[in-house]
Amino acid sequence: MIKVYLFLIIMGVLGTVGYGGYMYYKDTQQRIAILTENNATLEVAAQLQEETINTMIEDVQRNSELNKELQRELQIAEGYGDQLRATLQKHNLTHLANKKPGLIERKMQNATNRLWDDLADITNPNGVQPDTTGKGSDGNKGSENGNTDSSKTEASPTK
Amino acid sequence: MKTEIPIVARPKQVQLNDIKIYVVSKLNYAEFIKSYEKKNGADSYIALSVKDYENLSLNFAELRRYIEQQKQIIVYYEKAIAPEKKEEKDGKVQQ
Repeated sequence: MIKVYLFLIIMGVLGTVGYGGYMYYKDTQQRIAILTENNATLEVAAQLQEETINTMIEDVQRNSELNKELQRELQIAEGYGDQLRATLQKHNLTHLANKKPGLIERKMQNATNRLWDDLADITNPNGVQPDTTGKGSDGNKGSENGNTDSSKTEASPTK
Repeated sequence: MKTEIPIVARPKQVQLNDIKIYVVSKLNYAEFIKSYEKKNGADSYIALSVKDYENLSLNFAELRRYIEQQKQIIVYYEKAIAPEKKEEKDGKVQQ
């Protein structure tokens, strides 16, 4: 009789240990599955974050380059006025006009014609980048536009 | 994700009228009066001092600078909103 009780007790202990082991295994597997899922989610989030950071860095670099280019172009656009001011300071137009009115008239006319051409160029929607180096502001070069008769009202030729 | 903004067409090019400038001093005054009247049929004209001509030139230079800079700012914005070109592994460029 004692052997039967002893057997039952041993079986009970073994059963409890076995059930405990099974529950532990099941719980561990569940945790592993959850952690694996969490890990995958975090990896995706980390990758997305890295891509976002890279995109932001690229955007910053691109904007910085565009900004530098813009500043350079804005600076170039100042060239015409600067050169014109320098030319006007260099020459005494009043004196020259008194002494050589014909010569000054030609130069003024040429410079004015070139200005109209330049304005037509920089407003050209077909996007030919204008030469804004101040060329032609000194009025010492010949004009391409020979028609200077104000009695005829004609538009400057479109380039 | 960027909002795509359509780029609109630029305004048409300016069409400017030619003007004729006369520079007159004591040396050519008589000749100017004669030729001007012959050409324009009248002896009335609008005169500008040399200093005012200089100021007019500088004013036009300012306007030109403003137009040019405004244009460059538009170009800057157009480039900034343009879709990026990405190069794939096979070397083809895609937008």
